[in-house]
Amino acid sequence: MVRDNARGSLPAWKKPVDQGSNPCVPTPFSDLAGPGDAPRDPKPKEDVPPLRSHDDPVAHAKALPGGRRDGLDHVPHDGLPRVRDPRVRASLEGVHDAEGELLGRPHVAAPPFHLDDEVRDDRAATLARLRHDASVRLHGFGAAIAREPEEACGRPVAARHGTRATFISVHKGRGRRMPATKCPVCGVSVKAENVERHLRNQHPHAPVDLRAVLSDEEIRRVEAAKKAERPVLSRRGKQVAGIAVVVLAVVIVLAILNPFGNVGPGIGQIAPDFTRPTSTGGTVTLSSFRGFPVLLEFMDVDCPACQNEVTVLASVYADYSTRVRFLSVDVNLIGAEDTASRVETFRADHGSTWTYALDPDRSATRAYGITATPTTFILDRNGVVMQVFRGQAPGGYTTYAAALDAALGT
Amino acid sequence: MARTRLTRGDLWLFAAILAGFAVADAAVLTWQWYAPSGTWCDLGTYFSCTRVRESPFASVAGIPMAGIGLAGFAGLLGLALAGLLGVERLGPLAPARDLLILAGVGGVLGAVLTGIEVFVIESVCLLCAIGFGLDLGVLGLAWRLRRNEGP
Repeated sequence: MVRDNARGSLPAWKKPVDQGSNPCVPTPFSDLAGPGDAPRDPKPKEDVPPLRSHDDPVAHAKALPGGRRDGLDHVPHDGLPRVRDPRVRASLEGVHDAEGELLGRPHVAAPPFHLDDEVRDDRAATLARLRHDASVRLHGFGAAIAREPEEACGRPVAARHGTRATFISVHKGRGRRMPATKCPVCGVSVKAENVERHLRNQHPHAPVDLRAVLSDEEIRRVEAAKKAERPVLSRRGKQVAGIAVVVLAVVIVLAILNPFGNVGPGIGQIAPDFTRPTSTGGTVTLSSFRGFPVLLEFMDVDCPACQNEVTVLASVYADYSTRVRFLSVDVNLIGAEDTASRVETFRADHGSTWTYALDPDRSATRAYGITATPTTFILDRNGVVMQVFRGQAPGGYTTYAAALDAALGT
Repeated sequence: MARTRLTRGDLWLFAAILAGFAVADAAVLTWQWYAPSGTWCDLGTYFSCTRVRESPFASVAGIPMAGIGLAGFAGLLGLALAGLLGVERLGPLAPARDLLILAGVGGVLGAVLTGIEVFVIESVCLLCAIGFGLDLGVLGLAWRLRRNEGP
């Protein structure tokens, strides 16, 4: 179907052109045709996959029959994009409707042209740019862009593209318009929003301050554009995330605070009494030490911290052995099973001569809530817990001496 | 009620949350290493962070495994946050790809350490197991992110 023109005659861009007279110089509007017009290209159309938004137009153009980057780059600026919609004409001067009204002016890129995301997404504009080294930014509602490869003048022309859309803007996107700026290193025209990426990818070692290239307003707009490109969070995702946060927090807090674990006697409480076998073959009862302050240590012969701590306790023992009773209980938390002989070897190795007991059924371990070694209780003369040191006592000898002095009342 | 599909942003958010908790978990373990105290994370003889902490497998050349885990989880958190903010490249790093790699390395390391806990030390550190689980969660999310992203 040939569209009737409002003026009743064919416009200039639809008049027949004698291709034979000057086949290599495209005449303005020479190959434009309305929808339904018979194709003027006598060659059969080849099945070329459509250009997708994320394809590299240059690479895609190379894949076209006879396509070469050189041929595309050096197309003179005297041609016109091929827009098949009779209502629209696009040229280097701008995008016009059938009445000749200017709908938008093209942005002319400095050679070599730089393809950016916006243009990539606009197939018509991209192809026009490939053809003319200029970006005619087309924008329309429901644009149905058809493209077909063709040969013209012995070199590839990107495509003819038709659209039935009404062009209302020369800029594609969500209403944002990013003016192009020059790259300070290579001079390429780059959209403001792509300057940072361009510098990072093309000139990674160039010491360029972005603020020197872009104005504050551009930087603000770039930041706003970046923010708009962030991954979208769905409502359901936020709900699931909230639930996950609560559940994980509860689990980790419970694991750390451990309200289900053994607690043991606290400060001011009576230390649970026990009778345990000693490493020398006898037995020892805690309450038998009443009347003296007691240093009660729960340890393990395989525990490195206990091996360090015993040297401290040995020096404390040397000074307080006459006034304080010392008792160590091996709780066998880690390593091989602790036997009387192993404990005796430990005593001999470290010169600790006070009483060592074993806790084979772990009754004392449970009663005192021992979960780490060494754990040391300082008891007063009545068996009341005055201090507890979990792990090695900070300060070593001084700490123990101060605690025992307090227990002695000195 | 029709269920809405989770977006890539949701996946990044979940990964960031899991990595954030993993950082907290590893930080607690590291703190316990340098300032040991009792009762934490010890439910009994078998579930005992203390036994694991006092084992020779708890450190490598004086560096606590918890500290190594802390660094790794911090890396996961950084990558997840970068992905959540829509950052495509972080220098030489690509968040989606490197999240998968780092979480994978952490998963292998975590599996080995958990095996040592169960079969050698014969005691399980609950916080370590939680960290391992969180890493596996991040690994799954990273795999989905990478799969959706395509090659």
